[in-house]
Amino acid sequence: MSFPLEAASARAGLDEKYPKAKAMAWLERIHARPAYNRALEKGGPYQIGR
Amino acid sequence: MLTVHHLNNSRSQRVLWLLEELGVPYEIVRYQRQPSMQAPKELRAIHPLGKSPVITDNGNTIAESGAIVEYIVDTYGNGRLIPPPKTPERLRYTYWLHYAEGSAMPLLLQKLLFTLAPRRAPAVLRPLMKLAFAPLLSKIVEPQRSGILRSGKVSFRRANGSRATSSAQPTFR
Repeated sequence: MSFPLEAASARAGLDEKYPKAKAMAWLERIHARPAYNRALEKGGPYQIGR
Repeated sequence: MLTVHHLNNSRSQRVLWLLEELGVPYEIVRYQRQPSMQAPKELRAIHPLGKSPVITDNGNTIAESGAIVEYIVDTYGNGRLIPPPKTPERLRYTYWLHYAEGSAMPLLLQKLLFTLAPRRAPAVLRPLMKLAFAPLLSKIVEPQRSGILRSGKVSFRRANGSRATSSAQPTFR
């Protein structure tokens, strides 16, 4: 689910207006995970939908 | 060693994330998107789809994010990051695994294409194209969008027959 939600936050208007979805909170939670950040370091710049 | 054929700014980032979560050793072969944003043709030599992610491991070549996730969790997970079979949690896990590419991404892709088509049309056609595509966005994409973004209220039957409602908290994937 990380990819569609990151794409939605970049280009489909997923933002604080959708508190009920908890989707933004979920994105913040996964972005705080050490493994997620190690993967970003290995994978290189990641800017989907921008 | 497991090899991830990794395209920048793509779905293969989530495969790296899964491998990091599980602590599986892997190596990365890197590919760069073409100016058109498409994957380079070298990826077709790995798998006919020519897309990323694709992994190679132990003589297997596996494409499609969901298939890759299943393979990695089956092969290296030792029960981690997947709920036991025949539980509501497992059903929810399977739902989100398929929902990501089955429902969410097609809608986002429609939005992207309907938005880009008029912008990339020849200048003389652009006003007409905007007129043609605006209703597609407002009548097809927008009505589904809030549902997709809010989706997550999913009801499951527990083993004892009671019903459980899952809020929008996808499992890590």
